[in-house]
Amino acid sequence: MSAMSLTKAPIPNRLGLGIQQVRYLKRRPAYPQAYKPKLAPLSHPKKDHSSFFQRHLKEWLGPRNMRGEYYRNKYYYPPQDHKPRYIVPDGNTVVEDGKVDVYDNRKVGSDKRDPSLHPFPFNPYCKTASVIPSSLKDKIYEEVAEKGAHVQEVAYRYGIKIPRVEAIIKLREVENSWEQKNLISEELQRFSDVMYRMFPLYEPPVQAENLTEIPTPHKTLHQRFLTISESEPFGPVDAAKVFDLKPAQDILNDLTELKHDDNTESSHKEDLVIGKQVEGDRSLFKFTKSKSGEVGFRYGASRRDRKKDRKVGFDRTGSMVYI
Amino acid sequence: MPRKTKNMFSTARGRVRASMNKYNLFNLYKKPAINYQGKTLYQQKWLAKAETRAYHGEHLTESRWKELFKPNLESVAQLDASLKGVDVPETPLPLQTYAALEKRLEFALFRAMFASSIRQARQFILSGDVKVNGIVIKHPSFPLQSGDMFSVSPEKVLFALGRKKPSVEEAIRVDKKQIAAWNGYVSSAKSSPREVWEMKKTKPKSLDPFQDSVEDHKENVKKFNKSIEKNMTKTQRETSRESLLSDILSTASSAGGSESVSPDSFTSFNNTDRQKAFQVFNYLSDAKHELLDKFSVEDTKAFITKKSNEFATQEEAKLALHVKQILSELVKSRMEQIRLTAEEQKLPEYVTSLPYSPDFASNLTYHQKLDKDAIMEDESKAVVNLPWQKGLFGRQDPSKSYFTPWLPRPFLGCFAVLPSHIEVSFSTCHAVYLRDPIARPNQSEVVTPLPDHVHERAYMYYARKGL
Repeated sequence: MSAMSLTKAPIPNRLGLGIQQVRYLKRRPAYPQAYKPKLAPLSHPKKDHSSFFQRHLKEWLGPRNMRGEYYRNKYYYPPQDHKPRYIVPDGNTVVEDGKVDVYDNRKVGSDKRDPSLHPFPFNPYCKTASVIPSSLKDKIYEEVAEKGAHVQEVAYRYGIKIPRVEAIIKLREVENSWEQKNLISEELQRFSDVMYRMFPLYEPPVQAENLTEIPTPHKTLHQRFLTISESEPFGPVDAAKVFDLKPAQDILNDLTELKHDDNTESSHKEDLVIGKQVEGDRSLFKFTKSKSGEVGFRYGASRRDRKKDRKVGFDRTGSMVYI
Repeated sequence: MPRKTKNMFSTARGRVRASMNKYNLFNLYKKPAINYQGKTLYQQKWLAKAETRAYHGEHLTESRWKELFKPNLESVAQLDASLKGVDVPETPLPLQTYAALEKRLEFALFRAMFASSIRQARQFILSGDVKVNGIVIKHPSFPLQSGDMFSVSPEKVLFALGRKKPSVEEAIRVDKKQIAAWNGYVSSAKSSPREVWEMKKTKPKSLDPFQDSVEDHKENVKKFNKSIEKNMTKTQRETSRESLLSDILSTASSAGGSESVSPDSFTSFNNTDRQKAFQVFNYLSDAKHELLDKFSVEDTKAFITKKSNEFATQEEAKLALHVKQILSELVKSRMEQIRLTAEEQKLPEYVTSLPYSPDFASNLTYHQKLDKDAIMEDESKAVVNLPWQKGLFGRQDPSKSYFTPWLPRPFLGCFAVLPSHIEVSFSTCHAVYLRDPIARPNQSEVVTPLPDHVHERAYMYYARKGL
């Protein structure tokens, strides 16, 4: 664990702690820290035994209307304007009657956080993806499936990665067949519309995905030391050579080159020997070539079938089999 | 078998779970920052492990998870940035600690928002409602590969993401309250319509985007405009030469005699047309025509439809020709006038409140009361017809397992995170697993509420090198 270091331990924001450190404190209940909690009043001074958290939750949820909705809670209803409203823990969840709801997107938790993009207050690295507008999906489907454009071309044009473009086409085909069979019920359409309006919309030039991403080569995750003379120039190409990797420019060229998928696969014929069926033989024998170890059980090799943690896989019908 | 659990959403313990539960949101909301002060390194790692495991696969036992954990974390390098030589933001590699779990079918189902929690996703899989590439898979641990298409039966998804269906008793209770409130509103509107109308206008806007949406307002405005148009065409159809002539003559006779009539007597016409109307009257009064005394619409019609050769004298035919000419000009101008006033009355599309009309209260009707016993016996007997609701509350279609018409579950917006590594089609409840989630500069595709420093310590706990 040398690559990572414990650098980002946050400075505790409670300054009231004593100088003496107490290690074995009893676990403290998860009281809110970022805001001053409001508590619902007790219904009876003696008979109401609701706890701190129950009272806080009641206040946090706000009043209910006759349909049982927390109608003044600003998180109760999902947003329907393609602008998510994730939580901002500032203690104000209830919009008071007669007041206009002003969405306060103060940066509580982390400075880097945008509450309409980052769902969690403490993790600015987690983002919601944007939904691709249905018009753009239609366009992509039309270009690829009907006009026969190359997937790579379309991916480059709209800044969407190739697997996603392929997935869009696959899903659009399912949608089309469902529409034809009239399987999309009114309720399902309603659900789909609500979900669609909940996420930010993808705008191609601004939010385009980076198409030059490659899996980080594991070799580059470790340090490598090399002795060179001070006057010797050393650039990225030399570094690639040291790591025994292709230079970045070459990989990029490979990526951007239009790949024509060859349908003319090498007509590899399996070697097949058919035995001779003489009179009186019940069956005809066929012999195909295979590698020992890949079929059947190798004599004398140890097998896992009696072990406790046997390796499992799934066959074509979806049932679990031991490998 | 998932791990046994007790009080997962304890508010005092305050762990964050992979669930869309209301209490879970409360716990996430009030979660204090994780504090390492005064803790040994091992205590820090233990705390980080406990916090992260509460969210990532809490239903798996520790030994099962340790089998799945892989110390090699996946990330991507961006070639364009490295070629340009610009500063690349940090890659949150520690957030990949639990990436190995995300390829399991149950996790993908929850991330694609087809289930409201991972435990529910497991139930859907085990009950045979989930297919992978068209084949029913009954194993929640099924590892997805890139390009796999999985689907869930829509009924289950609507159930998971929809509002809870009320029981008949609950529905009746809610509807009784709603009907009482509606009847109170109707009676107060009938007694003092103006005040109720004003109150309705000043009412604060609801937070509910489904209640009075822009579409509803547009629909209302459209309806209003249509009714104005209908009135306009009706009055235009009634306007003709004979009706105008009869109007002129009746005005003149009510003014009393030809001496007291002036252009200003014809108040139903506008300024320019008054002269013309006066001229028509003058023509007829100069000729001392019999129409001056008999000016019903039938008489004027007979006068106007009479052909020029059917008149008794040449003068009368000439007079009729003059009168008809002026009258057709008047009709034309009147038509235009009607059109313009209607256009003025019409509302533009962005307007949200209709103008007050006194008959709004008379159009409201009281709702009949519900008979609880009869409905409990046979649900189909319930007749609820409120402006915002048809059928029993949430049970418009009692055969469905969810609230009908479908409404999203409470607090759904806070939990809805669209995954980057799955492409979802909500209208068919299908999704394609694109790839395993990866980390890139400034972003991690593994959805987690906990910050990177916590994941870093959890990684250290499981990688066992930092011990």
